[in-house]
Amino acid sequence: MRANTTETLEQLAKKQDHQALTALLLQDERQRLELIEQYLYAPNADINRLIEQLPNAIVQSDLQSLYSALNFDQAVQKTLKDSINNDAEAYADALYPVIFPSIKKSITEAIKEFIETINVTLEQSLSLERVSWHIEAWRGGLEYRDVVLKHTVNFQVEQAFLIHRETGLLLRHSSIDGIDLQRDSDAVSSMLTAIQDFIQDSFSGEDGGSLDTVEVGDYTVYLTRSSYSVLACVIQGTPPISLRSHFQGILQSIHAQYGALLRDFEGDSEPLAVIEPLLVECLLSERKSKEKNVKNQTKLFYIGTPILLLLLSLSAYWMYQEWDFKQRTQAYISHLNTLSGVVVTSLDFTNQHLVLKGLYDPLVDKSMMRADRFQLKPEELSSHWQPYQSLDPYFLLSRVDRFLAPPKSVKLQLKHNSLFISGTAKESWIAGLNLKLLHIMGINSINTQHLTSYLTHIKAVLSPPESVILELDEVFGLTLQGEASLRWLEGLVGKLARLDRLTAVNSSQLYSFESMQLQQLTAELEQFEIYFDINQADLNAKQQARVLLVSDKLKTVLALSKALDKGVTLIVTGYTDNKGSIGYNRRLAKNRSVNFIDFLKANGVSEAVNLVVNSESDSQKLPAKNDMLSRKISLKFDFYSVE
Amino acid sequence: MKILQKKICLIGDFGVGKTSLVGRFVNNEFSDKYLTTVGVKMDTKLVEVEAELKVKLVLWDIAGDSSLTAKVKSYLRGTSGFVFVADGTRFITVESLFMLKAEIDVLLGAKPFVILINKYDLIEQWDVPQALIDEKITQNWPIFYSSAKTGENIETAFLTLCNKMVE
Repeated sequence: MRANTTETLEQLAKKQDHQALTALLLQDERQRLELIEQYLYAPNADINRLIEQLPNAIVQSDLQSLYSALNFDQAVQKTLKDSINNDAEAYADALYPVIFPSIKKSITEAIKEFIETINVTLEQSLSLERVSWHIEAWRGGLEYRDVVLKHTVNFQVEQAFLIHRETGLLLRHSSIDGIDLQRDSDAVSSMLTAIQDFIQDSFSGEDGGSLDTVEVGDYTVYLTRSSYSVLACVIQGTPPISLRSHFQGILQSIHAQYGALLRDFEGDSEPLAVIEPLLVECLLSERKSKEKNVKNQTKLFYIGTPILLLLLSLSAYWMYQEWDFKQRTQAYISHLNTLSGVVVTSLDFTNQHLVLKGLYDPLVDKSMMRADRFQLKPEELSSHWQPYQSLDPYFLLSRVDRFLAPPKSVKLQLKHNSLFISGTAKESWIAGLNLKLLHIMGINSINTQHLTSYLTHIKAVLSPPESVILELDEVFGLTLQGEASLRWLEGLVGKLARLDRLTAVNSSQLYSFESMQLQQLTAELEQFEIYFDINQADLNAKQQARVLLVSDKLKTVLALSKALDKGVTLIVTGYTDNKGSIGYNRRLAKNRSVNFIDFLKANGVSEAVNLVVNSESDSQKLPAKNDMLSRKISLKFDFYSVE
Repeated sequence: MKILQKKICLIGDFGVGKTSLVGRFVNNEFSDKYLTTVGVKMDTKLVEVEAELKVKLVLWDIAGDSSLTAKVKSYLRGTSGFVFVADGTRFITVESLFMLKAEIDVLLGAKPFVILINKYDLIEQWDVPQALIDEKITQNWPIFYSSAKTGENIETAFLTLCNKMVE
């Protein structure tokens, strides 16, 4: 038992020594262990360590693997979801400054795109393509707007400039084949930068807006920016809105992969050649719609061809009609232009109808102006003619002629607006001449030097003696009155024949001097009577003396009659009173006339006169109280023409 | 062969001959109408600095003014070097030049530059005190008397600037 106890004590001593030794040997380690334990198990020790180590861990590993390792995505998603469910408004408020400009920009772009599409649609609204789109929309049950949008998106990105944002220097440039750079791309790059600065400085102010789009003719330049660079893409055609997102995506890729190169750029663009493949991705084009169009057009061919042919035929017919109408109207107008006294002042062609306005001289032959001579139908032409006075010599002379109505004997001539009137005319016509000519436009002077009155002309031709009066009536009827010599009268007929415009000649009041003398003598002699005593037939001396006077006058009568180509019969009638028997008285009366005739014959009155014995002894006819006056002879002349 | 691109701004008062000077020097020239519209025009020039190094200068010819407007300041951003130009026959333009340079130094910090006192062909009308120039030269300012008319010193000045930029 005791032995066991001793052994136990020894063992205990040994153990204490061992512990002391161990404590001595392992003191440092224990202290370190305590520190480690303290580090490991202290309150919030894990959190503090994580705070210390996380930055280094993020720096040393790539973010993606760290996110994966931590299953970060799910945690973040869950947290965000829970937070938004709890208080969505707080997130909306927080995100508003960030997302609002982007939304605003997207809406603006969308509206702009829509307007561009509408513009393009309107431009193509009358094309065959447009018709085919309508058919396509109808066949496919689509909205027409959608079909238009599908077809109008057609563009080509021709160049892409990657520009250093700070310096404006060109980092890389890429373009499609066949693009001829008119300018040094480095200079273009700088100029684009300057223009951006200029626009921003001039219009944007403090709100940080920037130039995003430049449009020049058919070209659009889209500018997108990152921290270190600007991507400027030159697009021909109508770019879709999605293209800008495409460019932004490419720029983000460039930035993500080569951000450091861009940041450190100091003028050497060679290291940036690696960016080129990404830049080439900007050079998109959309030509598919063209190919699609071709396919659709092939389908449409079968449907559209008859319609097209019909339209073409109608169009050709219409064009022919138009051409034919033009030809006919041109011919008509050319013809009108050749007519003197016709002036076309205006022409208006509207829908195969000609409205023609012009002036015409009323003296123009209207039949020459008729449009139906050129196959122009009444519905094809509206003419509005206004009368005017042409100063063309032909019309001027015609107007003068019409206005003056000159007789045929008058000749009118126009020389340099001077009117020459020559010939013969009535005095009344000549008298009104000057007054009339005042009303004729275009006549500057009148020359009537060779114009004489017709009566003057007649007088000149006939040379009548003063005792003859000439009168000319309105219808050229000439009246001659008065006395003239037989010689003049004999020449009158011949002279009148030369006056061919006389319509009638009245010479009933025209006498020769001879016939007047004959008439006077005849009248005087027919008043002559010789009275006899009762039952006496012989002429006594006193009576014979009176008969001698008569015989002289008789001789004159005979001479005048001869000159006038007249034969003369002198009827000597003897009378008796009513006393005595009729038979006796008849013999007595006869004796009285025979004695008288015999006495005349004895005194030289014989051959040239037919002396006729007559007796009037009817006693019943004479009143008894006039016995003495009944016993007489009386004379009566009878003239006859001698052919 | 390495080619570096550098943005250079030409600064100087109105009428000192910046545009004529550039016209003598460059390969590719934009129309002067941009000067009146946008206020700047671009020209480029490839300069061989060393056997295996060329510098492509993109010259921003900024419309002349005696002070820096907000627009001009925006044009200066990212500039690697400056060409300051004054008219040697008008001392006021030299004064403007010094003021502009001071303003730009404050705005962008010290940048490589050269100074061209232009119109040296009109030496008889020269209006620049030589003492002032000498003083600046002693401060290591690279100052050249140039003439756009004769082309004098233009190539040298630009080559100097190129060398300073690639140092």
